[in-house]
Amino acid sequence: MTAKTAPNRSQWLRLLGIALLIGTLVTTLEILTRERIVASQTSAALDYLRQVTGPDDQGAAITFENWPIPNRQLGLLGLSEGDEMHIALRAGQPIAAIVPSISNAGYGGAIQLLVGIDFTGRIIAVRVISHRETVGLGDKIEIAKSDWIEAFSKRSLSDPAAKYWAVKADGGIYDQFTGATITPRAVVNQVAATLQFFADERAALAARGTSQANPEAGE
Amino acid sequence: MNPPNDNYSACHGLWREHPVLVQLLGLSPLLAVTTTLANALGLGLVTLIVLLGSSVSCSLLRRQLNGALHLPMLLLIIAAWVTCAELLVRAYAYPLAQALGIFVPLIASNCVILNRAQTIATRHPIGTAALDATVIGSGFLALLLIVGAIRELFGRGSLFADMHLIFGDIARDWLWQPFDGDYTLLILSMPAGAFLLLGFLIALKNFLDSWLLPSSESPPEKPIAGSKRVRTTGKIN
Repeated sequence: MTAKTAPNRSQWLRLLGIALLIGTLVTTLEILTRERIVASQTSAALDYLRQVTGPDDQGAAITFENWPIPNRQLGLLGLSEGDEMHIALRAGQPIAAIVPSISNAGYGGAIQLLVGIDFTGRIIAVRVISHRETVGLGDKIEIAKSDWIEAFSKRSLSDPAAKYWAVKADGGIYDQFTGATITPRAVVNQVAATLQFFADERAALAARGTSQANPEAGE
Repeated sequence: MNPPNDNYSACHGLWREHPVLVQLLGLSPLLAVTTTLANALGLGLVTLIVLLGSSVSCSLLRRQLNGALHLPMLLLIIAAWVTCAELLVRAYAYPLAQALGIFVPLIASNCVILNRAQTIATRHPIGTAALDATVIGSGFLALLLIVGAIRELFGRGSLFADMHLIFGDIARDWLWQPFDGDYTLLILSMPAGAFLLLGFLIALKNFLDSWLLPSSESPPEKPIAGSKRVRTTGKIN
């Protein structure tokens, strides 16, 4: 074979031809599947949102909107510019904020959380979206592995008091796992930071909800 | 339709030239993804489809795929099939795509596929290439399933967890947990445990080889022509 000689022009042309052919085919498939992939992503995201807003007990449909997160808060939440939070609305009134929040204090890198908070500042639920904690030790933060994460439900910034917002090893009220303290500590601290964010922004969010709802009501 | 000697060589992919047990190719998906049987099945099937697709297309285009630029051409074709597979998995089995994560796009770097494209598909007609890809892909899938089943059963104390990622909602109650509640064996859940397990499986294969066919008709095929790096666990002159 001619594998040792330098490529000549016809070989470069063949490579170009194959690249063009493949590029066309892959692009076509990407266009064909784009809509379905977005739909799958959205429905997976909505599943998570429903988990953190809880069951719809009032009968009225809950809709979700994406609202911007003020830049000054991005650091606290571990997010980057352009990231948004989700607001659950019932009949146009905001009832809960679902805030993405990332801790970089995990044992295996970033832990992505979704924190659902109602407008009184109480946590509805917390879910771990993705993490790289140790299998069998740190992964008990997943709802699929353990119900540890449910310990945050109904908690707020004042319940427990700030100094108890920590794992037991740090003098707080939240359990750590045998052999894994770093992971739950990272999650507890990040959830507390998310509550702090919501406390700072609640007035602004409620005001936006009112101004958004009123023009519709007036028409 | 195929010359008998081509058939002959293809069937050895299941045992004597097994891509993982003998050639030690494709280790990273094997070690990383096989924490459960469901993950192993998902990745094995996607790999099988990509291998089949890329082998058939390389065989179809084999008159073009030679010369100094044949490697980038092969890589392009393989990467195209992987991209297509990833798009389809994300479109039609999104939870599976999330469970497998980066390892679906990384199929492109699975040397088993490049190895088959280079040594078989570009040198044989389409029937042989397809047969070879099916045999090799099935052998790879079978090993993933074995490793996945052992790791899930003895590492997490369950079997058939998460099968709904592949089979839909009917598979949600397939989960079988033979041991008491909290049983875990951490080492088997981690890649290091998978590596040890693979070592034992290779040892078992070599033991069966020496026990079943006592050195009557070995050694197997010649090394790949032109290849300077061939890692094997068997005897290849």
